[in-house]
Amino acid sequence: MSPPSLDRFRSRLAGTIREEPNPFGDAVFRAEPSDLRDVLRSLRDEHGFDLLLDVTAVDHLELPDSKPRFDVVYILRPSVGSERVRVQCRPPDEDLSLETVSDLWKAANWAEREVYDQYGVRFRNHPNLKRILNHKDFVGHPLRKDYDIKKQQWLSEPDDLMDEMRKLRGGAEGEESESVLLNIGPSHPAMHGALRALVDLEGETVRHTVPEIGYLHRGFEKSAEKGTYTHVIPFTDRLNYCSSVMNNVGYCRTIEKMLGIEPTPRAQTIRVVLLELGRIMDHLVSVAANLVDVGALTNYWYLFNERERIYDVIEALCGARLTHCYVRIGGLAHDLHAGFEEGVEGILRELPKALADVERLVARNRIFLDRVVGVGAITAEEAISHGFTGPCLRACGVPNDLRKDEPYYGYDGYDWNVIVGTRGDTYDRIWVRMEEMRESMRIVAQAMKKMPGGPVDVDDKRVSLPPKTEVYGNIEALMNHFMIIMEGIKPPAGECYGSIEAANGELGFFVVSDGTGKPYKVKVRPPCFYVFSAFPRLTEGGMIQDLIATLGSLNIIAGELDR
Amino acid sequence: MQQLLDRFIESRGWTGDWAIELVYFLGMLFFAVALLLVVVTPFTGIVSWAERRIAARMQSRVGPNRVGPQGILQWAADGLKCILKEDLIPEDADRILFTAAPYLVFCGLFGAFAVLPFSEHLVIADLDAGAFYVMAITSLVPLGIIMSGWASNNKWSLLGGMRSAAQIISYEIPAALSLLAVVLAAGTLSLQGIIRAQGWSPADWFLFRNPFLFTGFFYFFVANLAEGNRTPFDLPEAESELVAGYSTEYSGMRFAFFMLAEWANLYVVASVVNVAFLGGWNVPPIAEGVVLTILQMVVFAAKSLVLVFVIIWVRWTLPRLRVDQMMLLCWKYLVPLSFLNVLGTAVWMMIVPEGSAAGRVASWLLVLVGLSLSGLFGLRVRKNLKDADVGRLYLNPFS
Amino acid sequence: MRAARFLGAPVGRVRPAAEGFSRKRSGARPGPLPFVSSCGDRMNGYAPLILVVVLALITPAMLLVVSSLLGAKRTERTKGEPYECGIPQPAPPRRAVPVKYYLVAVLFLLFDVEAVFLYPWAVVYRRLGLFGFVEMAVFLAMLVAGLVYVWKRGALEWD
Repeated sequence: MSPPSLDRFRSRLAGTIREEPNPFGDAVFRAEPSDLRDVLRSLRDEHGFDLLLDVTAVDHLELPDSKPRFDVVYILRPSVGSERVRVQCRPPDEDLSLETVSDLWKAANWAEREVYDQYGVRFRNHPNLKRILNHKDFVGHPLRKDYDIKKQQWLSEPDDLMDEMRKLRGGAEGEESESVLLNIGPSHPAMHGALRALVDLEGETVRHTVPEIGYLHRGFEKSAEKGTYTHVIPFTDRLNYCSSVMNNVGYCRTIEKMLGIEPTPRAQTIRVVLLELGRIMDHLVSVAANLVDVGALTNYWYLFNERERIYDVIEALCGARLTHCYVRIGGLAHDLHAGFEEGVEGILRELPKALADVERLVARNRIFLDRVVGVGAITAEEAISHGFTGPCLRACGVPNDLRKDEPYYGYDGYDWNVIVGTRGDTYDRIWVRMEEMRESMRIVAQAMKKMPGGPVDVDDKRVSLPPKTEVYGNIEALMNHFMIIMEGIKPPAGECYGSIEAANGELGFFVVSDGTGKPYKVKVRPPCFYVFSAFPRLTEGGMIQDLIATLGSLNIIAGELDR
Repeated sequence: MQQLLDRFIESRGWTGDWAIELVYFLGMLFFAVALLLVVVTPFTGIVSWAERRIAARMQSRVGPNRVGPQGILQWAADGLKCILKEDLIPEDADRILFTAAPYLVFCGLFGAFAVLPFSEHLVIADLDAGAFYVMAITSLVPLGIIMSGWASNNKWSLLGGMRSAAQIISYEIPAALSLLAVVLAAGTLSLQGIIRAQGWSPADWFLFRNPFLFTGFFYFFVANLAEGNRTPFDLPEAESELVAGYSTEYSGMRFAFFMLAEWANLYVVASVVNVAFLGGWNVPPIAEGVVLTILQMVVFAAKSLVLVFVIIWVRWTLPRLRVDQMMLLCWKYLVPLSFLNVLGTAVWMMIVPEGSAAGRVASWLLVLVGLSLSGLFGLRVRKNLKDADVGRLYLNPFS
Repeated sequence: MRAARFLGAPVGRVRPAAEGFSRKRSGARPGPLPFVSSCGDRMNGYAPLILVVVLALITPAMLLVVSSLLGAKRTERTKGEPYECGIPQPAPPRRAVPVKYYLVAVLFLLFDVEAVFLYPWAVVYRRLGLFGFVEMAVFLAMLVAGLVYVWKRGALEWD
């Protein structure tokens, strides 16, 4: 059953737009290039799909229907609500361009740049169609199927970004101008990861900001096409490395959605515990680093002590501290260890004290409040247009949370609240995270209490390895094991978008399967990519110190930003 | 000092001006060298070690604990390392200004030590205009910082230098005005004179002399924090914003001078506050001679070190102000308030003559106010320590 | 002799009892060596300051010499480049500085010089009595009026 708004859309556009059958849930509409803008605008304005989640493309070169070659995919969602809709459109091969929608959604600006960068599809009337993840001198489009992954290019000259800065500065250029250009990053203590922003300063006031990303781009999406579905899991660890288990779950959940399997109750509950621990870790890092950015250095250790405590528990669980790689398609790497429960109890006992320590230091500290209240504020409408999700959007007062909107893993069975702010400023972003950690602790406590027994892997021979004793004594089990290892798990052919509420917002995976054991395409929808696209909007007019404080509160993780 | 030298001359039975002069000269030289090499530098180094250890304790870290017992020689190792490092001068830097800037910063702070008293007789130079001299010589520091910021040909340095210029000269005014109120009460500019005008009991301190000086103490302390680039006013070298501010391009020994000056400044600030408000080396008359001198030294150092600790404590507690807020705090709060202080002190001195019963009563009342304020603060600290459950800390640096 | 007068007070074994500036004018004989005699007024002269300043200049110089002898010397082109987060500087930093810094400098000159004028007054305040108070109150009132004026004109706003 489809939600009413989509039904209305279907009846309205009958004839001009074709709905494609999709075995994996989301409604998919195919639009002609000429109708694309109208369709998208209608979806946004009349049917409530106001959040443009992602834009990507699929190169059909190695698929049966390779004419026209590229299929551009727009993924939309209402800012509060669960239904998702994809609009797909094939630009003609000879022209390979589409009309831009960057005037409808600000999020489309960077999204379309990425499609252009990775696939070479052009967008007409785009304000600034240049490469975004790859280097400016890069030759070719790496995600095209005919681009060899081993092809290396030596690129050493940094982009001076003056093309964009000149546009922003307009006429006010020249030696007599009082403004000074300054590069903040990539190698700067407050640009966590390797971000860069070229700012135009007047005294200490930021007049214009031009962000540049891609310093940590390592071609996750291209690498993901080279191994089996299981091989991708360790790569996902490196996306948001502050909470890598969330990426594992997000990816595996998407593949499970394609396979049509649901993890066992025990696996689901363990995943919930790990997801919430991951969220806590991520928020701890974000808040701690943010406080360091405004100069409150001591809080950092108070919060990181607790992060270490969580790391200890997770290290005991899976042997790794940062890159966990614990989740598997259809289940988990193994069951919990003895003592996990005590570890989690310790976390739940100690974390509130650390949070209280920090609150005592900053919550009523006049200097802190002066530094963050009203700084880097953004309205809900703008935030939605920029594609904000997660804490940054909730800070604007929009109760957008997939755990409530589209409850998975029994999130609706727990007693917890969505935390929202009111002003959308740095203070709200910090405090939404502080309170979310408390809510996460509540969920963890409830999940640990109700932890069901049973296996952690689904009983499905397509995905689960048979037990070793069987492998050594039984030819079917041996063959089964061999096939899963050598050929990989084979989801049915098709395109699927799955997502979870990660610490930074909606973490989506758009996976295309051609029926073989290797993914045809894996596209990540990293939440902070869209958050960072609003960086100029958030910082222009403020001071350098505001820029630093704002950046910290956005929690940009270069690993998932640059992929 | 003078007594010691006099005694030495008499014991030798020397007469004649030149001999006496020479002994004085050599004595002075010896004392100054000893002060600089044996007291100031290691003291600065140890303050730096103490700051790092205290910070570590507050942040449940370990801090430097390898070189010497509890790491107390860390500063020497750091100094040695800086000596062995390469002294880089950026290509497009203004070489003269770039190389001169650390000298100015170093001289500015070490010059201030010349008038800082250690006891009643132990001071290199008891100048008639000591208070003035301290303000004058320490303003070499912002000059050096601005020079380094300008000369480095680096935007972070320049931003740091400009911030520092705006900050230090702005806070110079409330500092000067607050000190003016003290001079008003003391009737002399000599630091020793200011101390002599106070007594050993808290009621005789300028801190509790009248309500205006009481508040003036806080303005002076805050203004001095700002002049010393200490948190929450560490904007010129804000490491999360300006990389390293004015010292971004410095390396090796020149960088070490900036750091050395920063920690020397800690003690200078604490001592000046001590002299102006906390009665300096005044001790109850329970001893004389060498014992008295030692007692005075201990009392003076103890008071100063408590202040040093408070400054360190503040640093690791508070976030950093923003530039506009920092300027606003100075010009719209501290400057008018310290003007008020000067006038108030003058009026108070007209109405309540020194040594009168009313003055004594007011002083003791203020002592009570001060005590109850610190008592309340102590209770809060105790409660917070209890709430924080310090024992659970993940890491105890002294265990 | 001139130097001696400048640097401090002439010699005298007997310390004058008077406080303040009068101490320098004690009528004792000058010593045979101009510079040394300037130290004669023991701790009250300015000569020790020169010693300290000279020491404060020599010590860093010595340390720098030692550092240049012992320190590493591996220069290469990139080491001399200005640090701008790993990107070549788009423009040199030494350009016009925003005018508000000058405003701060002017305000500083105004108020700090006035504050300096107040110091001699503060030293002799007791002797001046009510007259001194009224006179300085008028002076301070003018200063405060100036502060109010620049405040109202918005010169204290940083943005």
